Amino acid sequence: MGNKMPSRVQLVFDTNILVDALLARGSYFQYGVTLLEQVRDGLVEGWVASRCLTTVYYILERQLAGETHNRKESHRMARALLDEIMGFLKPLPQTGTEFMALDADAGDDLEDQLIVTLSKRYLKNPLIVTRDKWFLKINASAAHPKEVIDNDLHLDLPDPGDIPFIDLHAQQRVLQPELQDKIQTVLCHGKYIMGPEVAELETRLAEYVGVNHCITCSSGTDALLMALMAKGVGPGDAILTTPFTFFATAEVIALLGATPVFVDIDPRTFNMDPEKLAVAIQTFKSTSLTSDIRRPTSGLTPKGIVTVDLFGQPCDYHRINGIARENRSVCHRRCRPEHGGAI
Amino acid sequence: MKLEIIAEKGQVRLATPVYLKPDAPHRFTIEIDARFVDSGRDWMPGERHEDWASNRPAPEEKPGSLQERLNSILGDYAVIRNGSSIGDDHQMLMEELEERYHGQ
Repeated sequence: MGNKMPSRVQLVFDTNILVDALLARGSYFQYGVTLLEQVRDGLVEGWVASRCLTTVYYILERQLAGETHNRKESHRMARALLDEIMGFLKPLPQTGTEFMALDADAGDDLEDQLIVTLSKRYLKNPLIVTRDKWFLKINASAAHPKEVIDNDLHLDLPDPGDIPFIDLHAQQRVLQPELQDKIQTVLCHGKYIMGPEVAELETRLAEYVGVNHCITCSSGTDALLMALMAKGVGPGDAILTTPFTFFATAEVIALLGATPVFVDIDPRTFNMDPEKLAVAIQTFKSTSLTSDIRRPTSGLTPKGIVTVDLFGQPCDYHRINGIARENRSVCHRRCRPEHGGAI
Repeated sequence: MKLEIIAEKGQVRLATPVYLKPDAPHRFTIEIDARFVDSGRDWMPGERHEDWASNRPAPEEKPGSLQERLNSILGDYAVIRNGSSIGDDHQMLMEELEERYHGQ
């Protein structure tokens, strides 16, 4: 298990396995501890239905109270044990509507039903880790921790060919519990536009990036448009930009009546090549000298440069800003996932 | 004396408490019609009968392991315990809820 690539399987821990592991109960508790440790080490995702947490707590506390004869001490230990595992396990959220979806018979264990319902609802490849055979009765994807480890059921490593170029789920898998929580908060207070979260985001983003102000808007397209409008970009202006980006970069230039002039990228970084930027700006100067109407830049004034930082690498701003200063042009840096990057 | 017992989630309990004299037997046998017996919910039913009561060692830990963290939290109570059936856990939960919310 030297490979740190996470498995595609998502383990969902049943109450009994968590209690066994935390209290070292029975002959197989080490299997549960091992699986939890692998979750802690990022080898596999681990989840727990939020409904199970109180049950785990009650059983832990009761068991420990019986041994310590001290409720405060048993409470402290039970909380500390839960805190430990909730540092890496993710809670499957429960909004309250799940009960309506349960297909339960009289006498069925609703908590187990919820584990199945929530796993199916939120996870792509759930495997319930349990020692309750009831899950097999309803044909849920479930296994005893010993079976999981003995048969490597959780180590279904992805085929490199399966790795998508853009995998938005990857980051969401990490953030999902927090996102669900925040979405629920917004739905409850109902301030969908300019709510308190917007102000908080702007403040925290400004601090993170190290600027005085941050103004959030509805999309990256609007952000680009606003910046160019602020600089009075319009017909007759040329904006030099990269062709290797989302089409909105060129779209907003055209939207304002200006002309996008593409400067090719450096094939090593995929970002705007400063050498080619310098050549492009020279083209404007020679165009104005010769008034050559066949050139696409003829009659245009270079007003600005819009760069795009790609794949975690900022552009060469030392050189690009130098070229911009020399030519009294404005360099607008379009950040993508490289927020907070430094040169 | 006839006693009423309630079978639920793999456990039986007395419908009303009965206190026995010290010399009374404390194990009783009941018969349940095999037609009503389900296959059970415990995946590994054998583990419940392990008995560590006389000498309960601490779970083995390695430096940096999760077990080390758990043992550290539990201190003197970091010991290997008897297994518990699904029914045992259910009963323990019911007792805890009863005690918490009915003030016993």
